[in-house]
Amino acid sequence: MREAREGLSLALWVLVGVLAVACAVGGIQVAQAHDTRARESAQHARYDATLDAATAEATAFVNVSHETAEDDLARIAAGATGPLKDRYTEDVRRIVRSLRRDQTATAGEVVWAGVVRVDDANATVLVATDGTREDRRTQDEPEDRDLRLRLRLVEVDGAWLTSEIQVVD
Amino acid sequence: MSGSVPLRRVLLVLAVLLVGLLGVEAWYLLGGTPQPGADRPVVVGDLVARSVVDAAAQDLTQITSTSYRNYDEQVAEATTVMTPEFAATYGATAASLAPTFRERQREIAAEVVSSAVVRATDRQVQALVYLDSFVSEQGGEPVRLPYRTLVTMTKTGHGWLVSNIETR
Repeated sequence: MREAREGLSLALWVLVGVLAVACAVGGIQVAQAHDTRARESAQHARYDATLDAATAEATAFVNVSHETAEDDLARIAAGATGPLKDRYTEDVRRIVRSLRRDQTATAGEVVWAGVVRVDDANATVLVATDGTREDRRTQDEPEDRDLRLRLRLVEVDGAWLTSEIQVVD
Repeated sequence: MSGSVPLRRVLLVLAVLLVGLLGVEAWYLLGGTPQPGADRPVVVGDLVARSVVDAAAQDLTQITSTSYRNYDEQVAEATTVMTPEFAATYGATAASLAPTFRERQREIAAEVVSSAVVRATDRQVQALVYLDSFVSEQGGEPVRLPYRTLVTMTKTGHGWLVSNIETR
């Protein structure tokens, strides 16, 4: 009887020991998984943030009218940084003169947007837009203006701003 | 080593607690993958997304590069990278275009300019591909046509296959 009780106790010690080791290994795996998921979640959030920022900037870029030029250019500048922001802040008068002289008006919308690459500081995003352009040359008749855009973005104080817009011909 | 009843009870309680902890750990580790939503269009790792987008661009190049010289063989080859449903749709469209290709001796060489991930889960990936299509007819100079294309890739038992193509 006593031997049976001691045997039961030994089995319980072994069981607790095995479970403790399994819990320790599991704990390490949970910690690693938690770190990985936190990194992945941050990266997934970057995809969303850069797509939103690029979509907004591309929408501003393809919607510029001579009638509302200052406001339209200010919208582009608001989502920009670096040389792109400089262009739409320092050259505003010249661009507005040009838009009014040619009676230029563009309108468009984003069809698709996708991320080429993104890290914690930089991103490259493709944005396809459909739209029209009219000016004196078109005799104020809207012409199709469907664009393939490539935007470079940088993270500035928690916000994604566009530093370059390329039209991919 | 003591074989007292209180100690055995303590060990038993400890074992039950450890089993519970193991269950919690397993629940966390086996937890489901995040689902895409309006605020999370990409819910897979960069490597997976990039590799499927690259495959989409490569498949699109293969599908859209065609020639009147071996049109039927190329169409048949292209359907091997498609889901059966999309292959049926594509096959019907390709068949309707076959006479035009032969009459005009049309040849198309496609070239990917750039590609990006639009949405991605572990089951489906959508890739935006900027594609240049060089079209020549009757041996003439090729004309470049720029396209924006959305390629949908679906994971199947045979790997990632093209399940839809939208071009603008």
